Amino acid sequence: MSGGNGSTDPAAALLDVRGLSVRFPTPRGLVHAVDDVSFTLETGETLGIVGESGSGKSVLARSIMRLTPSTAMTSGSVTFLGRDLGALAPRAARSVWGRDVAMVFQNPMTSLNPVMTIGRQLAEPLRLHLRSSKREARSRSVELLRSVGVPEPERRLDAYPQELSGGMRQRVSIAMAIACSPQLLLADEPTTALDVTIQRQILDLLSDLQRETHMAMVLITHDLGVVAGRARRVMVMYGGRVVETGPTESIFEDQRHPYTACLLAAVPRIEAPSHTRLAVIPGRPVDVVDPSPGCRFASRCPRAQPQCRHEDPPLRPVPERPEHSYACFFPVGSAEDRLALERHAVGDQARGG
Amino acid sequence: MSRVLPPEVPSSEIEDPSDPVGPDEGRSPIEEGGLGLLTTGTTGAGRRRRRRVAVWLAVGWLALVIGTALLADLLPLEPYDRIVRSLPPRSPIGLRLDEPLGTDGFGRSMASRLVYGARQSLLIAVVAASLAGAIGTVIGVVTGYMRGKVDETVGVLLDALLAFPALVLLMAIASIGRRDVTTVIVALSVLGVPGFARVARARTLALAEREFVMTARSMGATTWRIMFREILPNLMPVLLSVMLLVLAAFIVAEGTLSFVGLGVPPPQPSWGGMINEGRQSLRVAPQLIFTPAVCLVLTVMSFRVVGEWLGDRLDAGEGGR
Amino acid sequence: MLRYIAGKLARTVVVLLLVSFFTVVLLDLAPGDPAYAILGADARPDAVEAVHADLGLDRPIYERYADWLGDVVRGDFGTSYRANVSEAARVSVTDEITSALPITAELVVLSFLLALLAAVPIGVYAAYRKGGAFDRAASAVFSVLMSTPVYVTAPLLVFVLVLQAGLLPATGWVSLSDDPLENLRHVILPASALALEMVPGFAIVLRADMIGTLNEDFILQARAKGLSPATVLVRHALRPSSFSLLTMAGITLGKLIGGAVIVETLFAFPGLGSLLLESIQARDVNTVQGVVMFVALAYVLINGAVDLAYTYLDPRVRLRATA
Repeated sequence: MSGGNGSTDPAAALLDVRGLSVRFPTPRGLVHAVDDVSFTLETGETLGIVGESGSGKSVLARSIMRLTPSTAMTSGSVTFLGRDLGALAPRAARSVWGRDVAMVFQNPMTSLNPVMTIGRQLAEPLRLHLRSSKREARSRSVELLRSVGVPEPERRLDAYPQELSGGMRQRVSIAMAIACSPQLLLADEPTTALDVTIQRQILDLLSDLQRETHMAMVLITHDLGVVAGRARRVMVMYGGRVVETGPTESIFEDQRHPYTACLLAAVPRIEAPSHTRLAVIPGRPVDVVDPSPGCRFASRCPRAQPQCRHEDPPLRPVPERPEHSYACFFPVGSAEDRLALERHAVGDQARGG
Repeated sequence: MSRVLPPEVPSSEIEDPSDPVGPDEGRSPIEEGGLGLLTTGTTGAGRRRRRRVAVWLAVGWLALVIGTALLADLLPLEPYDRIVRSLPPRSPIGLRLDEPLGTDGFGRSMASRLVYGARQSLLIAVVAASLAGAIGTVIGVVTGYMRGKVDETVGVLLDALLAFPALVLLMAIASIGRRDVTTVIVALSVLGVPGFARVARARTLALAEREFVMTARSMGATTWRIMFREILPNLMPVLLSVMLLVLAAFIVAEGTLSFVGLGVPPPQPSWGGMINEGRQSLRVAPQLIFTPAVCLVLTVMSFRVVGEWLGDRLDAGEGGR
Repeated sequence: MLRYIAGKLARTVVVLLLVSFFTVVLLDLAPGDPAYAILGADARPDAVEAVHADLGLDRPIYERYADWLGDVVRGDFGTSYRANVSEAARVSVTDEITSALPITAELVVLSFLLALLAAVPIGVYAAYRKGGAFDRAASAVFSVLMSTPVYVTAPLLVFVLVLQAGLLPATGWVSLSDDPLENLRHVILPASALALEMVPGFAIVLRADMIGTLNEDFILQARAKGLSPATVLVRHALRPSSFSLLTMAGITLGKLIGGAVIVETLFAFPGLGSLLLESIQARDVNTVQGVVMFVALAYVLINGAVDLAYTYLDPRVRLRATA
């Protein structure tokens, strides 16, 4: 089930996730938030994880850092720098978080403690992991704020989060995350809650920091545009599963999974004539409570066939480019007549249903 | 005891878990974990089962207490006139075959005194709570519906009433009259009025916006008719739940009054009075204090359990509607 | 900001006036002639008349109240009128209050501290391990505690710790300045009895706030920084969760007066509580009014302090207030 995804030598990989599954019991049933996800990440590499809300991408990131609720049941392995993170004792694990692996959260309004000054929050990882003294931590904090583009850093140290704008707060969060020069940064929708103009600045900032420190990054987003040009590889998730993964250009130019195609098609294009209808994916995100077998996208897929509803499609590599894999029985671009058949079937369904 | 509301403190979101009447929400303070037996637990099913057991136990105890109190005269207990005699002090005899709970310092049957004391304490609590409920509800509905100057003036007066430390108010009122049951009832009622008024007012405010009130108004119903035929019946369930919690508080309050010498005068038995009297014999005969104390605690707990459960059911019903 | 304070001050004054007026009215309604209570049943008529004149009982209540108010503004709370106390031995109400105050103050402060000391860790841990065995056990215990009045817990504690174990003295008060250790031994039991009454309220409220806070993103962020659970709980979660606790503390103060009366009577402490009780029973108008006013004032001041504490705890409130 784990497809080839471009890693030449798993032993050299910075992060190696194998068969990770996360389930929660809820009053409605067992939620399969993440279902058998595998990928690897090299030093300095950027992986983009794309999916809508409910696709499991956030849960995936959090489960790497063991930040899931206590009721969550996790299986599979997460290996970082050769160490199995799942098997670490709590104290050992805590020496990894914030130091070697760090996370930036989506909403800068809520991810900073409102009753603590910026300075104190910044200093915490420094004093904890690097054993800095108060003075050292303070001067390093000023540097950090400067490096993320916060003006007047000394003043900001004594400010509270509410006194800063959203973009500034996110910069502070990033500063907090890179404080101990981590090798891996998990960025969970770092720009979603920000203005479009700020988004670009933040993403550029992240890229710059990466280049300087050779830090690997997992960039999680629902917006394909974010990963274009910034991630070397992209992993598309839907319903808790990986539906397509591979080098970014390959995905953009030669997408195989219908969901990926829909995602790309849904991006509005400025060249399109005015009043062009926005292409939408019909239906709503799938509810992954006690899911039945079969492709999770089947209910919304324009070319769904009976087989799709009964069998789980495995990840298969594209013959010409093995780093690019997809999980679909009837991928885009294969057998055009199949497509015609599907349209027929869709028409039938539309008339009958 | 009624809670003294601090002026201007943003307490509207704060619910005092031991206060029978919560803040302007009109619902009893069901905090998650307020009665952990009932509401915390790992799975919903386990919690519900535990809660049901607790509620049934509470109902059972209350039935026992109320039942024996009502049927006291028919039970094989020492008759009333025998237990209100003030005999010269005699050592309390422990458990005897014909006296399972022993006797008190005056040779009077504990079991009998407990039962008649239950009757006394319950009577006081029920009458006082009903009085406070009736008056408080009327005040609450009227001020809540009519708003304006009436609401403000009454509000200020009630605030002033609440600004008194509760015990001081109780003591002051109780010391005005003769020392007897009526005085106690009056004092407790006065104490309870602001609480009920607050609940009733809050609920009325919410209900006044609802459609059925608009409908009644458009059909030409008078203000009084709306208040008492439309709004009041809708308050009943909530008031019942609050009433149970107030009962619990009043049983405790009666004991407090006895303590400061203003409660039911001896030799009439009441749980509070028995606890107070038993103090002297703490060293030699602790059961004189602890038997009525246990009864009191169990009864108070039972009222709270049932009251909160009712409140929960009603909230769930409201939400579902 | 200034307007806000002025408004609150005005409201406070109104409330205090109403409270004192109610007190006078209530005491006036009480049956019995205070003169006879003071002088004894067989007092001479002219002595009775003198007392009447002294207390102003021959004048309407409004005049009496106005007089009293006028005196109060000048700091004079009048003299205390107790039965069988000769003219020369009468003390001023102010003196009475000042000698009784430290005792009650120590009792109240100590019980508050004890209650917080117990309630905070319990509330925090119960929220952290919500639904677990500790949480459920704590809730069950609280349920019982909330149904147990102080006049049951106090004798229970006395029975166990004094009579059975002989660890602490039963009654009596030893002043702090005389003998700190003895003072502590005498006050620890009553303070604990009072504290036990407050702990459930505090812990439950803290727990609820804490549970809400622990769901916030910034807690997740703190954990992602590698901080230990203890650090996250205490340094990050506790402060934002303290508001309900603070309000609760202010509210509980009102109930504490009642508890203090009972406890002081039980343990024979000459504090404000027993002073109040005695003076009500003795129809000692001046003392009653003095104590009630003092208590009401203290209550109001403390709530003011609570409001100030809000601004310290939550910079958001501070920013809003100055904006």
